[in-house]
Amino acid sequence: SLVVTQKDQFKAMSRVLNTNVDGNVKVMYALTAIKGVGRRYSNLVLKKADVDLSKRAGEMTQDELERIVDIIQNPLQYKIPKWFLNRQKHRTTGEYSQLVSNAVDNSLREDLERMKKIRLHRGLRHDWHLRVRGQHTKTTGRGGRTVGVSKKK
Amino acid sequence: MDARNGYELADASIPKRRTFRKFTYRGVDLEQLLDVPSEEFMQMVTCRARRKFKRGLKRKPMGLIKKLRLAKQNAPELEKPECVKTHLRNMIIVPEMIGSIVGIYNGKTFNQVEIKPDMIGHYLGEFSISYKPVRHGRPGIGATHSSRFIPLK
Repeated sequence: SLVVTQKDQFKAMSRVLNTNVDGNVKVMYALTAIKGVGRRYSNLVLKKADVDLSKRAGEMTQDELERIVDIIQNPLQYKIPKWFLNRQKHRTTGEYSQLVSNAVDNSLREDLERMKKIRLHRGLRHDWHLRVRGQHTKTTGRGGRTVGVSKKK
Repeated sequence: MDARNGYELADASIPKRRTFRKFTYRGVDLEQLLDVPSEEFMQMVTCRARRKFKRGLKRKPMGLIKKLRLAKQNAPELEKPECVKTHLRNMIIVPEMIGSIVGIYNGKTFNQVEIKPDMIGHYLGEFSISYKPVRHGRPGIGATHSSRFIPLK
């Protein structure tokens, strides 16, 4: 597309929400580099931020970036519907929020910890590195674990 | 109520034995949870639990709850109530049950589990594992295809 910005203002890599966002990629897909932000969410955030979707990520101004970060972290204030978010009706706090970058990993860890602490069956399966969702494990999930019988001679 | 679980209620003057984060379920504290009527509780809980309550309001586990209440009443102060045994692994844990000791049948024995506030919304059966976790020994003859015909002297 026709480059509208000046050459020196194009940022090859920006740092957004603790992640490196590639500048050469189209904005919508560049933002998906952030954990917790996928294509749908990125699309919606950019639309709410009034950013031209045909731009590349390097062409964004600082102002626009700040707006985007703000929207990502406070989705409900910018009229992003509750059902769009990845952490709905949080088990302890009851909040509706979108977890991003570190928060995603943290909350996963917390969930697993909680299950283990209560000695929930699910938690124990996670602990033992077994399948949690009721799959049959007799024949599947081998991944390099070969069971052999030695020929006794 | 008592603070045996270590989850402090709003105005406990008993020194905290272990400081936990104040427990909330979907934003509602322990204290309030105990007063919440069952319809409201249904809204807070996951959809599977909600469905169970909606369908089975004839309340099959009435016996269990009555026994739990009785056990709690009879318990000497600052001691755990006596164990109430049950086969009802499909009973969902409700705030009323918190603090009780339930012996959950796993097919063979009654596993004693103290119900903590964290456990709300899960099934009783999830806390009483019904199989012995597998510890594989050496694979025997006939375990693989290649070892089938060796034993024929």
